[in-house]
Amino acid sequence: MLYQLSYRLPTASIWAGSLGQVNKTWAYERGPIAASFTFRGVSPRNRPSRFAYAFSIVVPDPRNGAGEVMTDKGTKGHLARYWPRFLLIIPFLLVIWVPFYNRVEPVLANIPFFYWYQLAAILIGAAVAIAVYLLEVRIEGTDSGDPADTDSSGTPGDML
Amino acid sequence: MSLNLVAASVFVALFLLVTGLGFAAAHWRKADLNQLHEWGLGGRRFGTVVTWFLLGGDLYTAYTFIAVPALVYGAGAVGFFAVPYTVMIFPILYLIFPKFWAIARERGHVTAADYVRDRFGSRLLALAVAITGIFATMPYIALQLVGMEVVIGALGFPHGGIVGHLPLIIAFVILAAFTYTSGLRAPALIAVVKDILIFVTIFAAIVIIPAKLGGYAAIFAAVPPEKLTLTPPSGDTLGSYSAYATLALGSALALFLYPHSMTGILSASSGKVIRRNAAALSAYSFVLGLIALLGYMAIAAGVEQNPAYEAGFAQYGATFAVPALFLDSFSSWFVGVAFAAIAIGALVPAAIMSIACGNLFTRNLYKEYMRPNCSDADEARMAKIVSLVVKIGAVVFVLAIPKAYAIQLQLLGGIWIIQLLPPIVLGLFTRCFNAHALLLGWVAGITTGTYMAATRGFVSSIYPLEIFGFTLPGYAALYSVVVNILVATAVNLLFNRLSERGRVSSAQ
Repeated sequence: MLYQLSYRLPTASIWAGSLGQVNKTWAYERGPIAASFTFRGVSPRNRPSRFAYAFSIVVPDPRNGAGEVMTDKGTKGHLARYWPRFLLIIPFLLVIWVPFYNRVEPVLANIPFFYWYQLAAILIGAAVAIAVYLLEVRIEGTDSGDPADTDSSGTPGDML
Repeated sequence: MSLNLVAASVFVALFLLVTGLGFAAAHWRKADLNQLHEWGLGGRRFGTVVTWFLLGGDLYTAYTFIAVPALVYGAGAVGFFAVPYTVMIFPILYLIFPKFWAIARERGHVTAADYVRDRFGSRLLALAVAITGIFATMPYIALQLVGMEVVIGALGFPHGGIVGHLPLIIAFVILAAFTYTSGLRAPALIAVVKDILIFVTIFAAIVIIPAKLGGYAAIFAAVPPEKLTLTPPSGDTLGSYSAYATLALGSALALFLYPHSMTGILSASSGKVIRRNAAALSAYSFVLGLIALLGYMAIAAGVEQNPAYEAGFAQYGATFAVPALFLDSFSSWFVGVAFAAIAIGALVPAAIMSIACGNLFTRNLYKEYMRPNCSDADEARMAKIVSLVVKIGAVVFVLAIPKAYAIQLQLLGGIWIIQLLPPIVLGLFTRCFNAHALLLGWVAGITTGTYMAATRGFVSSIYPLEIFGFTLPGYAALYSVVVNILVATAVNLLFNRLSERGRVSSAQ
């Protein structure tokens, strides 16, 4: 719920994050190139880990990426939260190696392998995506606290 | 071809229904349409079901329904690359875009260029992103018109001269009017009708047509064996294999960078909606696979040998294969339904694409460079006007210039749009890149990609890359974006070195 709290704050303080204001002013005086290096001056402790940054749906400071990470950080590790996403490699593996399926035999219901295999890959891809989604929902519990999952109308039930 | 009266009546009736829906959409989930995010993003309130219809209508366009089976009809197995392509888009959608949505909602971004401007603090990079988006989308809108033109021609409306163009012009005036008044709500609502018609048509097609032709065995037997699978490469080349795989991968990476896909994604009401759709959109992919097979059914039905369709093939080439197949297999009223599905399938993406161009121009050119202090209402009005101008431009383009140019520009558009991958996607996942490096990478990518297409005379996007005497034919978009990333990384390392040295010397 950390996210919910910080969302109500004025924008400036949300994005200030762990990066000091002084540091930031310094950065902008030197233009965009310098700005993107300022995170080097921030102690690593206050920065989200590379892994967290790459896999989570956190909201980093869009200017320098060093802003406060607004997730359920601390309650669950990121690997524990996001491991199902590694399963999404499966659809790529199914179709990337063309010689494997460039053949006519075995024919299924009069349809050559090349065609029914790729149609089946769509169904497997969909099954994997559904599985990943359901696994993540289980891991998250009822309220993920993830900003990406908060309905913009603020109400549950975003079916329609 | 004389006018098919029954089919044309059903077609016109469905078109009128959709027109009514388009205007009524302004009152659906009523809000102030003088706000850009209401007009251009539907207020970011579309839930799972509406987003499913909207993205489905957005990504699987009329041109897809015409061009994919036409490619399978003409070239055989290679046209089926559309299937692995749609397999690869779900993981990409799932992994990347909920995060993008969250940042865009938090920071009020309406376009990808808004995000880049905010993330890297560079007006120049944002300008590059906006212009790339607009240039890649314009020919895409024109191609929707090409899809529509084929079915209107197949209905037997007279062609040639001003009278021949009239149905197309009327359709686009209607489209322009309801997009202006209702914004993104119109295509979202119309997409529901369009998708129901498409699903009905395709399921009828895969049941009725094979039954008429003697089953799938007869259909595949009619296809020349060398077309049925890809030609296995020989010697020092990966031949058709690498071309097929890179086409699929490159197209999948490029898809969600298009402004109209972005608009569809940003209008969702939550990241969860996007994740659910990553699984649910596969229903369309499956239908696309079946649509691709219509190309073989057209071969088996021998439509090209049928004198009734001679004029159509002479006029539209292989793109006439599916309309001819429908005329051949369905009774007149159902031909009307099927053709309406394709024509409405052109309206939905064309509306979203013009809205996306309107958003980009207003946010990233007009407000950024011309009138920084314009009000919210001015902003929305400007976007509406631009959406009109873009559509008029597309109509003029299709009517005045040979169709081949629209197809070539669309091919180039795919190569250009993928160059936004580093600024948009890498920016989400790493903190390493700076704006100058990304801008130079963009320049390198656009140049290499355009050069590769030029060496093929702009008719093919497969570039035969040679590495140590080994030929690796592949999609120019994928090769050029690799160049883009390599240049961006190298320049970035250089900048890092220089800035560190500068910091050390200033500290001493």
